[in-house]
Amino acid sequence: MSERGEDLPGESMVTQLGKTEIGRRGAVWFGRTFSFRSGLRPTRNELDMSVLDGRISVAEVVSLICIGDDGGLADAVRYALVSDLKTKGFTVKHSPSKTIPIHVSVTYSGEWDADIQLKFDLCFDQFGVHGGTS
Amino acid sequence: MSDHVHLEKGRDPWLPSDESELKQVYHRFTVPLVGLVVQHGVPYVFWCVVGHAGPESAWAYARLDTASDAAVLESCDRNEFERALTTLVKDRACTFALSSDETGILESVDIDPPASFDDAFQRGMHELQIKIKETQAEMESLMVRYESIQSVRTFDIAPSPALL
Repeated sequence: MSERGEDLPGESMVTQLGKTEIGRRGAVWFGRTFSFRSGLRPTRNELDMSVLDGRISVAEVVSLICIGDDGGLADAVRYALVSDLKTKGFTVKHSPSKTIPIHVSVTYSGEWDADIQLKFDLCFDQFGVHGGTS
Repeated sequence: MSDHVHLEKGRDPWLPSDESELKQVYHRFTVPLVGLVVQHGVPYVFWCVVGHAGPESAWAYARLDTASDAAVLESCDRNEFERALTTLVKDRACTFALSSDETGILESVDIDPPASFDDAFQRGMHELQIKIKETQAEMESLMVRYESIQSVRTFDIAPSPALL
């Protein structure tokens, strides 16, 4: 297990869990939309953005985070290079916990406002969004 | 003191009322997902049932006899955590809540014991549907008794012409 507070190398990837909304009428699907947390609210105990160390499948991510829940169509993941996050001013540090040994914390030294949310989201654009399949 | 936790609409699930104190977080991913809150000295363990990554989520709360009952969630290893939580909340009085990242707790319902980790979502949604149907029936009844309510039923909110 990595040491808490240790920086991740730039060439590493991180994975964030999100959610899929499936638009459908009856049995016909007409679209999927994805949602991911991109901002923090420090006044509400949100001190860092949680991601996972590595490029990890939806099923694996769900098994780590969603205790008692199985991965499925409602789940999605997206990936970012640590170097992209660091270039945009984020710090990316190992913060392993008992339940999530590969937990990584992303923080920003200033206010995590709408501009920073956009910067954070852009870091994940390169590798697309991957939805659950079962 | 009730067996059921007191939840206030608009509050974060991990700090569900003004009198709540978040004592311990056992599992988190940006937000606390499993933890211990205390209200007026009474400990409740809470856990996210679905929607761990937001923006909407469902939560369950179970009253413990003492805060030290939750120590098993600290002492167990990672592979035992789900089983420890399941055992800890088995057969207890439970409260189920729906929440959104934007608004906080939206609605909640008490579930009589025995509740369990595995059926909290199913039972919670079922009880919420009953609660909503009861509210609708009460509204219908009021509209029969008071015609003035019936007459404003189809009113919509529109900007005042003075503001246009």
